[in-house]
Amino acid sequence: MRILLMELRRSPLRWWFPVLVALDVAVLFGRSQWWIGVWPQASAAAQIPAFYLGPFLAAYAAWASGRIHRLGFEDQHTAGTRPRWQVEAAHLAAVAVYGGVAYAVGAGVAAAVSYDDAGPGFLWPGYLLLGAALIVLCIAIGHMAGRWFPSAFAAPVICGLACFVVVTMNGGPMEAGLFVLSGGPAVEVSPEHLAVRWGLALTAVAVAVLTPRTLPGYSGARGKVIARLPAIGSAALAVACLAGVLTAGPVQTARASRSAPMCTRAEPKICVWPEERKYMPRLEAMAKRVSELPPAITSPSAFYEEGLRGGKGQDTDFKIFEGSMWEVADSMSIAVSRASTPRYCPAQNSDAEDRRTMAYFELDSWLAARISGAGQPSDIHGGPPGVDQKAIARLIHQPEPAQQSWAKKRLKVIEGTRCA
Amino acid sequence: MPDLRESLIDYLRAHRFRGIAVGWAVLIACDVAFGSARLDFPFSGSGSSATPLRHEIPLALAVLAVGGLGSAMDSLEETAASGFRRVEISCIVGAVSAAAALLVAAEAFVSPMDTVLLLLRGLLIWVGLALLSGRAWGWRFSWILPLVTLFPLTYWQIDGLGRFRWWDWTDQPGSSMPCWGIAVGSLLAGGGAMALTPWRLNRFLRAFRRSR
Amino acid sequence: MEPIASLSGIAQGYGRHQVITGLDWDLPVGVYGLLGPNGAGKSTLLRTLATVTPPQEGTLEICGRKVHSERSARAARTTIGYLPQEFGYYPSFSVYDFVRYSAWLRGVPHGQAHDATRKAIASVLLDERAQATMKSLSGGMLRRAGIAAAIVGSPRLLLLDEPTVGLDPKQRLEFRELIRSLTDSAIVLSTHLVEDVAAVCDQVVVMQSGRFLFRGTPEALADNARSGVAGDSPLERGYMAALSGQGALS
Repeated sequence: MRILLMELRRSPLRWWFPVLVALDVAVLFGRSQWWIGVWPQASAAAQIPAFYLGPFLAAYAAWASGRIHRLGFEDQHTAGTRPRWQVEAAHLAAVAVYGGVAYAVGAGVAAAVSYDDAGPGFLWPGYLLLGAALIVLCIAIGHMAGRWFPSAFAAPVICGLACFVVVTMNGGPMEAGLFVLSGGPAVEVSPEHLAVRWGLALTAVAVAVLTPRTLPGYSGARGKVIARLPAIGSAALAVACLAGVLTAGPVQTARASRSAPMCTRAEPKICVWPEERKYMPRLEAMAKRVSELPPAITSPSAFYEEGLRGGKGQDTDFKIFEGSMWEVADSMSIAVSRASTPRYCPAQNSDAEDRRTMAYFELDSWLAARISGAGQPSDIHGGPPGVDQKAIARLIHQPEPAQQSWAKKRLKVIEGTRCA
Repeated sequence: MPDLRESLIDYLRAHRFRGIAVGWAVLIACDVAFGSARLDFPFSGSGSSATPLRHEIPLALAVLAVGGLGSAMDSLEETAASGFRRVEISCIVGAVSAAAALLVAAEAFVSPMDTVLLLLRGLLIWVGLALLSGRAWGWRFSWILPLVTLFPLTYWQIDGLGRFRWWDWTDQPGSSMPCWGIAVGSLLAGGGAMALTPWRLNRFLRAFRRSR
Repeated sequence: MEPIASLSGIAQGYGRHQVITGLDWDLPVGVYGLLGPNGAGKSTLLRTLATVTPPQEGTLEICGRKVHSERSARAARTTIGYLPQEFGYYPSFSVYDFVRYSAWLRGVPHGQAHDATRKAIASVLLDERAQATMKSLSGGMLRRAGIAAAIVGSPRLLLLDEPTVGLDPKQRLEFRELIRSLTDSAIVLSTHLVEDVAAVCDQVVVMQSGRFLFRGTPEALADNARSGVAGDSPLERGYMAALSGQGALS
């Protein structure tokens, strides 16, 4: 503990600490702010800075751990009474403390800004621990590289860049799952997946501190093989954990609803996870707009957010993607048009099929615009091909009879299409 | 002429030229083998974007080239006469040219001309930043500013409309003039920083004090 | 006698911290001992004389030429040999490579560099280890290689920061002989070892807090000794007396 305190006092990271915190906060708020007020999303957002803190701390750890050798302290450490692994562990822990505190400050800020609007619960530890595991893993790799290649230039540069590139290419949620980009309430980081990642991080730490660079500081009176056994054992465990991380599948798994969903008072009901209660005012307005649709349009009695009904309704339930209400309206429009039109069947010929498809596209776009209260936002790309979204945006401001007649024409095309 | 040749050899030996050459060779091999691999970054807006790995390779080439200015004997080199300075400048110009030539040679067969221009532009920008960083924190830390640029380049590279920002030199086309403007600015700043020796800085500060 | 180096009103510092203030000093040919406690400003003064750190105030002249710009500093460096307190080296360089590299840094013409390097290595009695790599040398040998790098090309102004640290008694005697043999230069030795000063220096300067407390011959410093001042030799007592303000600036 005393060595750790000494390391903390003398570490150049104390000067870099404000930079680390600034980086964390910049990543937190620089991406977007839609996560504020939804605990799982805030937790995932607070975890994203690990993506940048990890490689930075890997570069620093590589530079710092090589200093013992560069400054000629090898002999002093070898001659010391403390086992060498303790000294190495203290050096590594000092980097982890600075990195961890900066990361924790970011998490604290995320919690503070979310607190007022958020639904039940608090920050989800699974996401925060996932980010912490990535940071510890990177620090361990950096420490190891710095010990073996004590160059003040090559080791930090290669280590920082390599960690960044490898984490970017292989660490994403669909790959090794070392970080996630968002955290909807329907999914969570499972404890098993998290344990494997922490296993990898901790065994990497063990390899970094237990592997002897030169044997004298480690072996003492023991034989060379015995002195190397802890390093060999921890390396084998690290390989096993790495294999576990790579083969265990996606880090986020479906989560069962633990309490009743939160639904709008207005009919039709729009139900979301209680964690997302901050969207209720906007969802109430959407429900009201659905109820004001022309009589020719039939709406389902309720709409559900993805995951609330377990395996049911997977193709019609909506998802609040990064706080976008347009995405919700778009999903609801498909459910409404499905309820308002006959069951699908293949058309008699391709011309009829094309006409009907176009009518569906236009009707869906109009419904989405009506439900959301505005046309497709400029930051949303794509949409049904061939539909003039600007014309749809103008259409929803026209008098109701004009819109009804426009919608009836599309419904007529759909209903009039004969099945093959 | 033999004098200059011997001076260059002395300088290159003391500045770990062999290590730099090996580093470049590894990087060029990575560029050829994995250059097309896509890097998925979390970015501002909606999820992830993908930049080919080759667009980031010039960063490492630039950092290595400028890092070669550092030497274990820098305390002696501080007291060097003018011949050293000439060789130092020749070597950094030669190193950047060699890195550019390697990049062009490796990319000419696998990438269109626009990509080659994009990579050369990135090399020049990162060389300028590495020079600036080296002057601020010492040549061994010439990697700090180039590595820092990875943050905005991978996090804020996309605007709200899903387009690459005008300053994103790793994704804007090779013909993008604003990015070439950044390249010129970065090189001027880096060159200026390299020219700003303690004596020149001292003269500037003294003149500034007198003018006040 | 024409001074080889001349300082006039030199002030030096880092940020707001003033390390040396208003120093005037002429250095004709001779050996000068620079004594003072840690943090007195000795190394800063040597770095200023070596033109590594430009002075914040005042003027510096080397060999009769004012050093006021990058160009003039680089021109002056051809006549300056400088051994920093701690110097780095490329571990795979041989002693010969290291000293020759220093000769090249100093601007010694290539035609003369080989002979100058051999001569400097021989002066510090490392000729038998000339081809040994720097990483294989002991601490004392490294120091001698550093001294060879400083004296290569016979500089007119030789600045040695703690040159005898790590040398054994025999090597220190040989070092003193070497210094005595350099009769055409102004040599500044910054040291903590009073006996080195007594043995080779013509003049002694005692510094504290960036100021000169004493300037004169070693004998004059020894004469400063007062009873009740700590020290094992008259010179040590004189030095301690100067530090405690009892010695006059001669």
